[in-house]
Amino acid sequence: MNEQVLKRNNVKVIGKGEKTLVFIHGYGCDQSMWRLITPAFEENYQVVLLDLVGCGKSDEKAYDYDKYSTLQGYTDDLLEVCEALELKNVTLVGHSISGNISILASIIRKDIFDNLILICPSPRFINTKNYHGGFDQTDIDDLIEALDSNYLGWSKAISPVIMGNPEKPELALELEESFCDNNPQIAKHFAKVTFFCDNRKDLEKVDIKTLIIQCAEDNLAALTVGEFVHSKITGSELTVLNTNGHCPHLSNPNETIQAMKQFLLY
Amino acid sequence: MESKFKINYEELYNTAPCGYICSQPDGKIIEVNNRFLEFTGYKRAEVIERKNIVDFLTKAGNIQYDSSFVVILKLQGAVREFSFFFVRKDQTRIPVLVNSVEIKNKIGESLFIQTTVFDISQRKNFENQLIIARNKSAKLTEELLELNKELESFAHIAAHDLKAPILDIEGHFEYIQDKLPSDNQETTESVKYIHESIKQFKNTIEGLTAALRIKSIQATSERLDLNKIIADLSPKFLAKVLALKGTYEADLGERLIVQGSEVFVRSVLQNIVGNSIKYHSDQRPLKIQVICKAERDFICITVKDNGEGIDLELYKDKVFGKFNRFNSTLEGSGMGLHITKKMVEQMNGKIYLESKLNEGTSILIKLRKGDET
Repeated sequence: MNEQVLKRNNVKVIGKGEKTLVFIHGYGCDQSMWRLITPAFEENYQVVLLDLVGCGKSDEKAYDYDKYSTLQGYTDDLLEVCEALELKNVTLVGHSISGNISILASIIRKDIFDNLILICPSPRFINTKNYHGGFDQTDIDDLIEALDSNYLGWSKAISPVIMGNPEKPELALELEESFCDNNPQIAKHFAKVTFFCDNRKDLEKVDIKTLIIQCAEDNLAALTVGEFVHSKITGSELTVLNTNGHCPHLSNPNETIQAMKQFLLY
Repeated sequence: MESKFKINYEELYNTAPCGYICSQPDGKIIEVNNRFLEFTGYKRAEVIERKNIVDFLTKAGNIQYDSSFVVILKLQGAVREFSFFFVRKDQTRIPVLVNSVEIKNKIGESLFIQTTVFDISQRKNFENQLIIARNKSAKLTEELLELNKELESFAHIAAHDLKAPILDIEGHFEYIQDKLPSDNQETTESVKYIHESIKQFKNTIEGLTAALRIKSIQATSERLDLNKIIADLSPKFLAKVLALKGTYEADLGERLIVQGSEVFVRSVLQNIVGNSIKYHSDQRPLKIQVICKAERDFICITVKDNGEGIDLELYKDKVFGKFNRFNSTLEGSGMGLHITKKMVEQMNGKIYLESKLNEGTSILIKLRKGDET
């Protein structure tokens, strides 16, 4: 059972330490998006990496369209992974939509989770009355359609030419094999689940120490969204990095690491 | 000889048939070529150091850019053939394909991003049609699978529900048969006719059941020693052929390994040689030849007979169909060749038939070659 769970989510455990960091990637990619920041934690933490089912090298056969039609399916998987590894004193690090998954998990098992680190989280992407998520329904419909175009030559576009990386030839090899290489049908379904989610009401239920890392300019999760999350999670900290985009762990790994370390110290 | 053209790189850059963008790692644009300005409708001063690449994207494009494009670019150093819509100054959209590479200094720091933008308006029409066609075919496939499933369950019910009544009829008929006058010519004819009909009915159900069984068995795939299988079956074939005073030859040749299911390979051979025996000609002594040889990817098994043959001009499209019989005098469900073909196909093989009425039939079966080792 345990082995099955770990295989299903392509779980990798590295590093050493009493405390554990579990990294959960967001929509559109897989665990490889953490590779610029995990080395900084391997010395003092056990680092757990996983691919959400349907992404990366997870077991695609485990993708059940009913189960993963809400974030609860992913949350259950995350909890199963933590249970399979018998983790305690865990800090969940969730990017974007996986911030929501981390929040849901932390509400269910307060006993095993110490901290939440939410990187560019968004409890809801769609604008509603009195809430600015940043997107309208039609934008998301456009996205679903656009995914068709980018997956038209799926297998071809996803095995692009690798730029040489003389220092780390093994890196290039791995990338060539597969990278953010997600099944188009699943990617569409996951896009719908991600961009139509609404976890605003869950924010208030968070009862553990929480850090929100936010980029100064982020088109997917604007600063106002970060501030909204901050205002709803009691006692949370908000760190705004002077960088733009939605992936500070890639665009500005050093500052991201620093913000995380500072938070974890106390 | 001196060229009469002077190459001016700036000129080449500006007039290239695609848009060029040079941006900072965060996407802020530091240089573009004139072609890019021309097709987006902006003035140079409106773009340089004022716009970011994302400013040219739709909202949907923005999501893809932030959740996939930059991730791939950052981790891989390049992105190829990413499809976006670029928004012009007049708010119209053009479909484009974007390639980007990250330019780094010697110590691996990202300096800037080079991007080319190709207008694919014409290609997009074609692409849209392709997407529509693909979605349509996916939908049809789904419907077809659903229909097949229904058909199969219908066949199951039919096979099952017809079996009991015909056995009932048979039983009751045998019972009353003894009570019929045996000296009446007409009655005897009728009894014979009813018997044949019952037999035919049962054969049909049996064939149907067999066909369903084949569908439900997943063909296992293993390496099989074909020579061994043929050597094993041959004595049984030979006995039947000798009883008809015919000849049977199996040319085994070299050792041949096929990839497939042993149960399937055996029943395919039994069906085909069985047919040769069943449909022998009364005009001449039966002669059956089994010849095997290896091709590049396949092992070919030819079973040749000099039997009755099939009139292919009449039955060309029907030989491998269900419930088709080409000979009315002998019993049979008309399912034999259909099932045989299904089994061969389940093993990723092929089957061909050649036949001439009153001369004989030759069947070629191609099975996947197995590994030698």
